[in-house]
Amino acid sequence: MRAALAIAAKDLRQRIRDRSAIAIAIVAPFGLAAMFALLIPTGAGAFQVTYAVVDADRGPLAAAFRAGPLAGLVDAGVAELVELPSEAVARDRVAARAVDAAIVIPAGFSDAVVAGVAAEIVVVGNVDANLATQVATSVASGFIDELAAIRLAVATTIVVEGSVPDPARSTELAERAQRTRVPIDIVGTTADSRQAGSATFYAASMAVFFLFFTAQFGVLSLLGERRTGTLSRIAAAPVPAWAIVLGKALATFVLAAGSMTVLVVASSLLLGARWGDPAAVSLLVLGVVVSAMGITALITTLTRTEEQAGNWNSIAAMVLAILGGAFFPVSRGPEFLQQASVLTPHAWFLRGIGDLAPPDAGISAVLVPIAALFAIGIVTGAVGLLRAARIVVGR
Amino acid sequence: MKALAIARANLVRLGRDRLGLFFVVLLPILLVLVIGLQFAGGFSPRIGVLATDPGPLGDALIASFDRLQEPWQRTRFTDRTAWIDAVERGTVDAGIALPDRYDERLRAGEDVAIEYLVEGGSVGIGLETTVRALVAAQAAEVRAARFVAAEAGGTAGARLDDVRRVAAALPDLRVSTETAGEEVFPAALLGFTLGAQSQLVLFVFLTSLTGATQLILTRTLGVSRRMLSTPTSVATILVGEFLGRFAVALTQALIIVVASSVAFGVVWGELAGAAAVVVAFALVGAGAAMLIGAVATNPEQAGSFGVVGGMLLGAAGGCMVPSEFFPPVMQTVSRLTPHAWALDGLRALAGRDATFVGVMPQVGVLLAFAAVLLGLAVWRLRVVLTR
Repeated sequence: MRAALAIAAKDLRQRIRDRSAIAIAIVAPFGLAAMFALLIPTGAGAFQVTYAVVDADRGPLAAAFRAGPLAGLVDAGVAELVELPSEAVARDRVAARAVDAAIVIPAGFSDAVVAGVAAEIVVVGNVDANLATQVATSVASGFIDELAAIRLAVATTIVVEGSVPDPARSTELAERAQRTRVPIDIVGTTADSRQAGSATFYAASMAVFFLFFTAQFGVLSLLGERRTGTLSRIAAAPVPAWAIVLGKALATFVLAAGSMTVLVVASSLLLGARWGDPAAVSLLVLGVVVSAMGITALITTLTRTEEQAGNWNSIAAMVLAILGGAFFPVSRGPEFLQQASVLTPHAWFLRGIGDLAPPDAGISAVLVPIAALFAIGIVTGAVGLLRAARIVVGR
Repeated sequence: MKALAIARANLVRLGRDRLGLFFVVLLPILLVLVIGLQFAGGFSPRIGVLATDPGPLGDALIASFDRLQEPWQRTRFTDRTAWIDAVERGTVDAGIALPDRYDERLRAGEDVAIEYLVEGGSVGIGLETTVRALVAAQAAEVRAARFVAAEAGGTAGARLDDVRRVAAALPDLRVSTETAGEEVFPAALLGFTLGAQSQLVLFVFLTSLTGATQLILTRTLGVSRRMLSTPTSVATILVGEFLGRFAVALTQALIIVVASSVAFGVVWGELAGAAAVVVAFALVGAGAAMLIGAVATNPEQAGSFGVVGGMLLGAAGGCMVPSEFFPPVMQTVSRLTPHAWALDGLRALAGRDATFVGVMPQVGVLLAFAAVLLGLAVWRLRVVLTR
């Protein structure tokens, strides 16, 4: 055991003196996470738009529309309204995106509706303001649909009764129709968010991406020591094979877990990342370190030279990170991509961090991701360690 | 001619390095593919629909999401836990749940409630208006049918057909929607094109920077000193090394251009214009590589700083997230990177049908970048190569 500790201590010293190791383990992930956190505007999830309103009608229905649904948008904090004198002015503002969309109530709208002829409300949206345009259209449609529902009820009754259209009867029917209930109600509820904020997400995703470069170091140095002959010399001393492998693994573990911890702390302090319950985060970090060590150990022991191992590990790190959604969320991707991501430690780690987003989430919320990470680590690591021990014995 | 031989040696070295090939050729294509697949569905809202027994009215309501001007992506759920999960994890932007026996109950005159679920603070709250409008349209029909049934007899369910028949004959009462303004991302840029342009710019520069290690090896292994002992001038070596870096950058760019247009149908725009931007950007990359090769002291240093620097510059230049999404200050900072100018040129070509003449400003800025980088590099290299 003392031999293992001595090997671990020597490896760690060697590694910490190498500045590029620190660059890969800490500087690069932190720099990229900071960059992403800076680049992606905060509050991107909030929905706030500005609409221009052009009331060329000035009739009772236009007034009802503005006092009802449009005022409702302002009260809900969704939209800001700007009153403009003409459709032409509004179109210019929309084109320049001074407003997201314009809602135009044409002259004669109220009269047309009452007379039962065709009528419309015009929504002009900026080409890039899809959602804002859709919301404006929907608000107008909601209002128009209410008018249409009553008109439809009256018209159908008259058709079905086969009676001769009579204005007095129509008005009477319309008044009654107005008092009927709306049969379908919408009940809105807000779910917990289980998505990490962008600072947290990118700190986590970059940390796990670069972890795969740090975690390969132990087994890789085993190949290096075999090449330079120091492995034979250590093995000639009364040091069992397991102690050598253990020492290497220990050094890697300390290095990987240490740099992950530095990243978690630094991103919380400097980037405003919110990782969530510390105990749960610790377990997730442990799990992802173990799985990264397992996967890189397995890959490394399947190759013969350090160079080969480095190459394959880099490729694996890239492919797993892409599949695991470390660069962009896979949730918008096709089904097979989402299914493949289940095989990567990245996906489980990021999912775990997302699950910790609700303030009351603890270890119990992330048991499945933790179990998955350890399972991946133990399976690949067991094979990797066995093969690593064989490298020491076979030299 | 000697310069060409030196350049050729550089390309051969690249071809022999398998890992190099992965990063130069496969990875960018892979990223173009994955990013393209991500956004193949566009940015249209995604709704999760939980319905076990929707019936004809439920089906009609669900289908109405497809008839929106910008159709929503629908995912159907039958399990409540999975539905809530999807909203919480953001796999869908919002969820609606139709009650059991939706159709049957509405026809029987019963009122129903549809659940609308969003994750707090998300864009889903903005989507609620659209959902409400679609539901209101159906509610209008049902309401009319019930009114008719009450006034003229029959059941609401049976009167629905009358209502629909009359509705089709009534003069239009509607909302018309138009758009105005110029798109930030013209349709031609969506799909694979935006990703392909970004990856080209990101990787050509990244490869150039990491390629600086070659130049350092040439220096530290004494290759340059040995070349100098032959009748070869410093200028020849410099030209050769520069051509080598340039050739690598250009080869990579060509591979990405050809592969992405053949495999994913990416549009690069007018040939002469695209060639001018790509060549100018490859010159910038080669210049940056020469500068790092001149300044760095060992290959490991250059390698890691090349990767980190290349990624940071790429991100700042808008290769990872389009700079249009940056906060205003960062948009300005972004203009200081060659990446932003190259992307600007490529986008103008593919999205706005710009021509060779149209992208001259961008090409000019890129050439200026290249000249400055190369000037600094040559000035330093003249000293260190002969040392």
